Amino acid sequence: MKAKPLVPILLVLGLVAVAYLLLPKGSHSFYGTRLLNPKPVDFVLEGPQGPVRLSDFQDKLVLIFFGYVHCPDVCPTTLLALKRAYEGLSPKEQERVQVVFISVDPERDTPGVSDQYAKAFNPSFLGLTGSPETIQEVARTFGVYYQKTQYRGPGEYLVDHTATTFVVKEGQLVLLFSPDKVEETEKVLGDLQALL
Amino acid sequence: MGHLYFTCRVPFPATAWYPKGVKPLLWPRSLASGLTLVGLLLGGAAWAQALATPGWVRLVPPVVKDTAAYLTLENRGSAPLRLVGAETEVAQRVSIHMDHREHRGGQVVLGMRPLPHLDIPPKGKVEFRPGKYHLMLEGLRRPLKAGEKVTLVLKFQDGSRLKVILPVEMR
Ligand SMILES: [Cu+2]
Repeated sequence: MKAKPLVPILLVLGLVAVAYLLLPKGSHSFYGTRLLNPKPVDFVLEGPQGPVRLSDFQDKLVLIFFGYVHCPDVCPTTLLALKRAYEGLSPKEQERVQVVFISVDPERDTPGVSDQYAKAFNPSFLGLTGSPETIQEVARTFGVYYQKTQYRGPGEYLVDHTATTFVVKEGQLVLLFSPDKVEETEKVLGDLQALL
Repeated sequence: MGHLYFTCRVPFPATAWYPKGVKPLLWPRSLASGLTLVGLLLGGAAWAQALATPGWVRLVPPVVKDTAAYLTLENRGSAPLRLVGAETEVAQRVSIHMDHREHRGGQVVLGMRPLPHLDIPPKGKVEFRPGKYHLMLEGLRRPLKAGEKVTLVLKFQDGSRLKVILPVEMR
């Protein structure tokens, strides 16, 4: 009598185990926000050695963060998180990942300054910027907001900006990390490896 | 954990009246290494005592002329403590900043806002850390190096000052 309820329980457990084994291999539950309809994206911006096109990295996973150099609190927090994630990849995986920092403050940040800034986090990172009009256009493509605040004089102001990290694969925006999520290095690594 | 820093001002005159129950301690200028304690008497009764637990100064790329300092500031006293500013030899200006967060188009927009002062309630504490508060060191006079120590003097409304030494770290 007592043993009877065990049968259906065992049956259910067995079915769960079978279902688990039948899950498609490689299925990964993403930690970042997956875009149900990946969005085609491209841009041409200024790098330290001239124009850089996003599609130049067609065969790489591109991680894009918009910020500005005079930002000692928010931007380094995310760039340090991207450094940790990038340095957590194997050298083979690193070859297929490009981290890009885009300055939304072209008035103060030249392409050279933006790139030196990015490279201080990891020498393989790339810093870009462009004319105010181009930056505006690229920001619109990614749904990035940025606005000067606390203006004290020429070159003396702060900038509010969207602090999302965008992941582009084969010219398509596929995944987003909020500034809080991007700090979870292990989970970010899991997502990147699933996309590689 | 690093050193703790206390501050305060030696009560003046030396024959200060101490509130009932408060033992007239010796207010040594310097205790153990890195520990400075001073007393602060306000109107003879309520007093504020600042205690700083060092955090770090963020190592920023040499192209950047601004950085942020982090620490925890505690008020061990019974009167409110108001931080009104800070100074350091390494930067032209130090501002008290609070992080600003809003949502735009479903995404997080971050920024920072200067504060004219910051109150630490009695027995309370304020954490300066990424995402909350930072002391913004503006106009660095020279690039900082990893591992070096930066001295920061915190200034309070009552005129007291607190010296804190923070290491420069990339984190
Ligand atoms: Cu700031």
